[in-house]
Amino acid sequence: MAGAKAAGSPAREADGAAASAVKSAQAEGRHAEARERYAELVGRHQRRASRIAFHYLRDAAEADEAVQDGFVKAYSHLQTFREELPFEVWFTRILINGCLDRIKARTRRERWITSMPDGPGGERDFAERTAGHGPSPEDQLLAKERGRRVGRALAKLPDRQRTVFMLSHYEGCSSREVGAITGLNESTVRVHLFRAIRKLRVLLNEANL
Amino acid sequence: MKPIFSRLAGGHLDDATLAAIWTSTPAAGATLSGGAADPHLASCGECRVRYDAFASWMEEIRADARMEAAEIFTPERLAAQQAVISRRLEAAERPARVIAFPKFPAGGSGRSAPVRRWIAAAAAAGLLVGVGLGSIMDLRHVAERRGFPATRTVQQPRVDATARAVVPASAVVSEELLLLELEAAATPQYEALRAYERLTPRAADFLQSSR
Repeated sequence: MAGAKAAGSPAREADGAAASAVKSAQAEGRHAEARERYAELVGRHQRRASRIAFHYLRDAAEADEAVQDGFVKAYSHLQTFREELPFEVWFTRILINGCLDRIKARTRRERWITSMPDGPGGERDFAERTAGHGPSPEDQLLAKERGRRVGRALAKLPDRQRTVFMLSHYEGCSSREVGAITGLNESTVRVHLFRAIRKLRVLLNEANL
Repeated sequence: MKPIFSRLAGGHLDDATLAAIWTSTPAAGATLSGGAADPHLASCGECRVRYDAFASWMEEIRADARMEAAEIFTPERLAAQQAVISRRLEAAERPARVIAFPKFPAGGSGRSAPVRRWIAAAAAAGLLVGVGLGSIMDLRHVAERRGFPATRTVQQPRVDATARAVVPASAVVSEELLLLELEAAATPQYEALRAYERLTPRAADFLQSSR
C-alpha cells in the first residue's frame, strides 16, 4: 500500500477500474476477458501479497499456495466486492484470513511435535545498532539470521498484533489502512502496534539469553 | 492511544516510552524532525540518540524482511505463480463433468406403476396355474414314459417289481449266482441239522419255478 496510499491515486483508480471490468465481464459470461483483466490485478498485487503471506507463514511454498488461494477466492467472490473499498484492502483481508487459517491448521498438525529451540547467537540491543553500511556477504548473512530471528519472534505475537505490525511496518500501511483491513479503529491499531513492538523486543531479548 | 511515559533515573525516557513515541508519530518509522512528541525528547540529546537508534533498528528489521522476501519471490517465481492462478481460474470456470450413475427412480424400477402391476398379476397367475397343473398331472409318470429316470434313487439296487423290470439281464444272472453261492455256503455241515435244511425252501427251486 505504500505505493497507493492516497485515496484516488492512479494505482488505486486502476485497480477499481480493473475490478469493475472483471465484474461486468463475469456477469455477462465473458470469462476469458474477465480472466485477462484479472491478471492485471494479480500482477500488480502478487509481490506484496507473497511478501505478506511469507511473513505470516515463514514458508515460501506455503506462501505461494496461500497467495494462489487468495487470488482465486477473490476472483470467485468479486461480485461481493464494493468499489468504495480499495481492492488491495479487500484482497489483503482475504489473504490474511487465509494465512491465519493455515497457521491454525499447521498448529493443529504440529501439536505433538516439539519445537526446535532457538539457535545460539546474540541480538544486540537496539541502542547499539547503527544504520546498515553496505550489503557485504557477511552483512547479508547476518541480515538473514536476524530476519529468521525476527520471524520466529513475530510468529509468537497474537494474531492482531502481528497483523498490525506487519502491515504497518513491513508494508508501510497507515493506521487508517490497517484499520480498514483489520476492522479496528486507528487508535486501536496504534495500541496494537506499540504492544507488538514491545513484545517483539522482549522476545528477541529472551532469545539472546 | 495513551503511551506509558515512564522515566529512567535522571528523567530519561525508557525503551517502552521511546517505542510509544515512535508508533504515535504520523508516519511510524520516521526519525523525529524538530519538535518531538515528548518535550524531554526534544531537549535531551541522550534520549534523542537512543530514539534514533530505536528507529534505525526498526528500519533494519523492515529492510531485512523486505530483502528476505525479495530473494525468495523472484520475478520467475512470481510469473510461475501467476500462471498457476490463471490455470486454476480457468479450471474453476470450466463446467464440471458429471459422471452418469445408473438411474434408480423412487419406485426402484424404471417401469410405470400400471406395468408393474400387470407383471405382478401375470407372475401370480403363472404360479397358480403351475400349482394346479402339478396337482392334476403326475409329472413323474410322464418322465418315465419318455425314458427319463423319475428320480436319482434308481441307481441304488431295488428289490421291488418295478425295479426288477429295469435291471439288466447280466445283473439278474449275477444275482442268482450270488444267491446260490450263499445257499451252498449256508448248507449245514453237521448231519443233525440236515433235516432242518431239507425243510427250508431253496433259492434254486424258486429260480427254476420262475423260469
